[in-house]
Amino acid sequence: MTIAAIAVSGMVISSCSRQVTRVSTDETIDISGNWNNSDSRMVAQEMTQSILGHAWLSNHLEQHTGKKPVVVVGMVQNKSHEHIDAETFVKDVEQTFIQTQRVRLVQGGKKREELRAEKADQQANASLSSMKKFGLENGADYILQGSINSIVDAHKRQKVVSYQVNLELTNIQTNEVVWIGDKKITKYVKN
Amino acid sequence: MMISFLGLMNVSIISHAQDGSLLPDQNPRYAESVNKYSKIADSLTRSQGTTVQQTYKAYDLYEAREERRQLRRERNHQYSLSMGLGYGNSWYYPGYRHSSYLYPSFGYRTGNWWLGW
Repeated sequence: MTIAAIAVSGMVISSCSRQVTRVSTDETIDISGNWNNSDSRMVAQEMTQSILGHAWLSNHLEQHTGKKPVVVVGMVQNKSHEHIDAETFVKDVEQTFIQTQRVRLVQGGKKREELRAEKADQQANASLSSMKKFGLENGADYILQGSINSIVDAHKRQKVVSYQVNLELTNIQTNEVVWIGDKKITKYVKN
Repeated sequence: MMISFLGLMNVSIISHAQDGSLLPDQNPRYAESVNKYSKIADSLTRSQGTTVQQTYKAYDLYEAREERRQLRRERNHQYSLSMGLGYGNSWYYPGYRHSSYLYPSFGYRTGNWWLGW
């Protein structure tokens, strides 16, 4: 009886124990086969290299006498079968814009709304010397938009998942698409 | 003569004031934005200094299975309480056990083997 109780309690303790280990963010660990941080990192690397190495940047600098392009990040549509947050790789691209100082970035979306609201709040509350004025924002030259798609082919315990991430940069004045970057990732999962 | 002179003065003062209020390169329609955002500034700035939670529930096979089990146990427990039974096993629930949907009456023994019914 005692032995049985000890055995049962040992099983309960061992089943409840959980081991957590910090790993490098560069390390690729695939567990379920779903979209993970390695995929996001690969997309970010591909997009960053592609967008800054493309001719659109030199063309813009040439046409605008060395004036850096201003970019706003638009919408990224997730049309895949999984939850994927595009912000994880779009932020990496944005960070590179800032770090390399080759592209200027302006806020868009909810953050821009908040900025304008803060400015509106200052009109009645801030001192005249510190109050920021409306109508002096930097207008974007280009908008970065994108989409995430996936194709799933599954049979019994086997599954092939293909992801395709597209980002494209469009000239807001002319609607001309000046750059398209894509990253395809295919995974074979066997359960 | 005097009236027309005053009128001219008024127009020139207004136009001067409008020109003076605009900074170089400032959008002349900036007042539209001021009007729009003045009305909604409070709601848009309310979350400043806080963390807006926009989380999602990631699918975990084991967690999902445990949740299903827990739900089933709770449901069974509630059911047994409502039926006035002390059983914790769904096998003994009359409605469940005698369901023809789950157990075909032909070629399938549904009774208790030990008690003989």
